[in-house]
Amino acid sequence: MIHLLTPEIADAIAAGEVIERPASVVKELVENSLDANARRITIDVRGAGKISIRVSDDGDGISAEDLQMAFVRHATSKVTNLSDLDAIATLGFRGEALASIASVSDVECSSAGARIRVRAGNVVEHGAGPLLPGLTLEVKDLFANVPARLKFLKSDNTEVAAIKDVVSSFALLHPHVRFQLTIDARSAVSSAGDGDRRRAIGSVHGLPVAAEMLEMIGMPLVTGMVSQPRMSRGSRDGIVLAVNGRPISSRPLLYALEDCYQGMLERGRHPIAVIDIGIDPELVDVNVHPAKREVRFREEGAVFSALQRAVRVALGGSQPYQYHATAGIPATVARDPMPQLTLHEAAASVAVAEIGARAAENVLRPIGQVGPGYLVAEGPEGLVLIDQHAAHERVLYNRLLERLRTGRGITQPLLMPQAVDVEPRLIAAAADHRADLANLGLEYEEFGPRSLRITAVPVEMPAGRATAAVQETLAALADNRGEGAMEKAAAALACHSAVRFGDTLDLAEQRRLLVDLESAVDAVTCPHGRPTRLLVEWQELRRHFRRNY
Amino acid sequence: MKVTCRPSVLGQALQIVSRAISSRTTLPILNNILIETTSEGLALTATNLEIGIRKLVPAEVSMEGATTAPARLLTDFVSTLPDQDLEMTLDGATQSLNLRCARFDTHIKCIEAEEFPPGPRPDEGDRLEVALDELVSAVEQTQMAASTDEARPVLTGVLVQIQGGALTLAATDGHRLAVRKLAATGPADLEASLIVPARALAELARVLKGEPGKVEVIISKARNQVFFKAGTSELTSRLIDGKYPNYAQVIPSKSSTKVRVSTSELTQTVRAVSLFARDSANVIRVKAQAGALVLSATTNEVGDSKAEMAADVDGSDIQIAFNARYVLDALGVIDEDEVELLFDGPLSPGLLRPPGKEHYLYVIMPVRVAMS
Ligand SMILES: Nc1ncnc2c1ncn2[C@@H]1O[C@H](COP(=O)(O)OP(=O)(O)OP(=O)(O)O)[C@@H](O)[C@H]1O
Ligand SMILES: [Mg+2]
Repeated sequence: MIHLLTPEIADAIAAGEVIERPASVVKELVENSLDANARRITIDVRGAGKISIRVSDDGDGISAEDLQMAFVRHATSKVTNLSDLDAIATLGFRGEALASIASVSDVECSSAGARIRVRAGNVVEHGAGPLLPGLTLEVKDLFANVPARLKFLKSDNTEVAAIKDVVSSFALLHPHVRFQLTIDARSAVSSAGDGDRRRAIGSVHGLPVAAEMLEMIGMPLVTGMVSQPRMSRGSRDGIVLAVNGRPISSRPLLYALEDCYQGMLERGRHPIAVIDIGIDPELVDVNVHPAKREVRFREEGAVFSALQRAVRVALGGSQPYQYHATAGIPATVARDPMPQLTLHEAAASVAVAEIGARAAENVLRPIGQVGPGYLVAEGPEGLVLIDQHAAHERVLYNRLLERLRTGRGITQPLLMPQAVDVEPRLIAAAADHRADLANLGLEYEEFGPRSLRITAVPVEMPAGRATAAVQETLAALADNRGEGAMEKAAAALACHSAVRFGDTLDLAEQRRLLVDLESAVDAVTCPHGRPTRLLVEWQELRRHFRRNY
Repeated sequence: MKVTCRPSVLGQALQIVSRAISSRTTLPILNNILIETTSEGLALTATNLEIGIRKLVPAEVSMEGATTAPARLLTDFVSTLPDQDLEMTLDGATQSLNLRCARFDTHIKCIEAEEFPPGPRPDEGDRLEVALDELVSAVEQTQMAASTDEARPVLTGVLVQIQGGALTLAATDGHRLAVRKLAATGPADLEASLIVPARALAELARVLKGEPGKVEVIISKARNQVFFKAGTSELTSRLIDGKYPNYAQVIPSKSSTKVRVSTSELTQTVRAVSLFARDSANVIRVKAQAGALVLSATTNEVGDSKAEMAADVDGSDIQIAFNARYVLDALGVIDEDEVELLFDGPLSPGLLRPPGKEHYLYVIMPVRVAMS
């Protein structure tokens, strides 16, 4: 039953602009269909939404006697008492959307055998209509009566993209609902609605992306999928955050998500994600923003950490980067001259590393070193190429984080303290983090305004690396005040302690690095997000050498 | 130029001289070897402007001359030749070097000798003489302790001090220090401090191998070059400019624990135990107690290992930890049956030396294990 909200309730609802652009119309209409339990929602857009937006669903529909009421401001079937606003379980609750839309366009709506036409807020027709399940609503001539608004719309392409984003988000968040979006008679989004989230992602981002997504299952509060680090984007456009199926924008949650990728993605790269927080409606306030884009959690910290836990567990299943021959290039044409293959075999030292309980289960078998700094190894799934610097950097970074966490570690005091020139701001940064630096194994005395005297280094750092390591580590501290600064510093320290690209490693050292990498967490990337290894699957090799057929 | 020589002798000399060629040179001429006729035969020279190597090869000179030939090609080619007379003739106008040997008749394109940097020659600088095997062992015992940190150039060198008719070689990377003294004959009043790139010294043994017993060390007047000369071989190196840290102050002057053990047994034990020190960056623990030295290492994932060996222990018990690599580096160059270890508490530098001898010492800074 649709009824008018009392003025008291109406006043308690966040007021403001509801319909700003064609995409807002689509969003409101799709929300209404979802609230009406639709399983199939078809959206047809013409002229970037300015000519027509038509949405039809197979939901509960509106009874003939309620049809006119639906277009009255502050009339809704979803809220009755003031207290209902404390636990909003539906996407709509203001009784605003249809009224707002109808006031700036020409709307025709039919449901349950009735039909109504409202133009610029006035009912112009009302009578019998087709007896079809659900509801169909068409918005024509949007903003025709508000030229100012029309003038502020962006280009057609931009408006169409915004519409597509809206429908995509809902399709990703509601895999049980079948969405069909056509734009000027061309299909733009088409989801299966079979409840399979990966398939929903495939329909929006394509199958290759869908295959790279890691699912968050069995975690409290949080459901959805996140991309593994080996796949990322240059923008945040692929991130959909939601609460109870409602897409929202939330800086804190965005930060929580991206923080989980710290040390896995390169600077400027972002994950693809669909994350829905399923939470008791009483614990979240959606009545904050007139367009319902923002929410307030009663316990933001708990949501924040639940999200991080779920994402981190999912990321634990990350796989290494994989080699795929570029489509279209004949496999037989080598694009670059082959680098000279130099295998640094050191058979005598093999026996040395054979000892140790892990050796038996060590699945990567080193074959040699090629080019300036790559290792070649054989694993169960195929040939593995390893960037020796990135790999060692990751191993050391994890050890340094462990040192920070536990305060345990081995420190190499210097036989002769070493003076290192640094800028004054770095000295200040060092002073702020003295205890943490000592946990990492880095100890110093101040030695004039532009110099530190290093008295000890982490045992992980080879002799002779201190100068650059100290300068870069302290620069990382100075450039990243606050949260995460120590991690950045540890990354710099790991980078300057790791074997260099170009160093020669004997077979025993290679084996040791592979074993360490295998047992390291987040081993897919170095702490700066560059890949540590590349897998060339057996299947890929078979395909290339035509051994399949 | 026209000369005749044996490919085997020439090939060996080319290989050694080529060691001075840097793979990263940007000057194409530095990829070539200078070939000159001299009264004794052929002189081969290569340089990377920091290090120069020169070798004389016996040859029959029928026409004097000089040119520069691509090192890699010439070396590879000569090494494939049968050991029969090789006749090399240079066409001065085209700089084409003709090599005839057995069934081979080959031409190699060369570059004029004038293009080759006129490297420094031993001038009338200060000279002294040392025994070749002593010098080679002194270099071996110190050079591995030098640093590879280009940010501190002086530490990438070995300090060579000349004083009172003796040479002292010292090298440190800030974690350990190696010092070796050896006798020299030369002007009694000669005093000098040179920092010789460790990279250059690393070539010394190879360059001088097979030469008769004495090495002549010549320090250029400008004190910016050093020459090592023995027989027909010569190594030249630029010196590193700078002030070497005062290493003497870190040599422990007292000890509370003195240990004497078999060098080979200790080497084997350290090597075996350190396999279990992977996670802890190669750190092994050393415990000295009455009559025994106990070595141990632990890695969470691999397990742990402990080994006890008989030792003469004099003084108080001690437990101390070291980077095993630094210990092995020293043990590898102490060619005595026994080695002496001196400790003065777990946080003070430890000292390794051949027992009862003063000519060599190796100082290692222990590591500190925080278990909080
Ligand atoms: N597709 C639909 N199927 C069934 N009922 C609908 C549909 N669209 C709208 N309604 C009914 O019309 C009412 C008004 O819709 P409207 O979108 O204006 O307000 P609302 O959804 O209640 O709140 P909000 O303004 O927050 O969207 C709804 O409360 C609902 O009862
Ligand atoms: Mg609504």
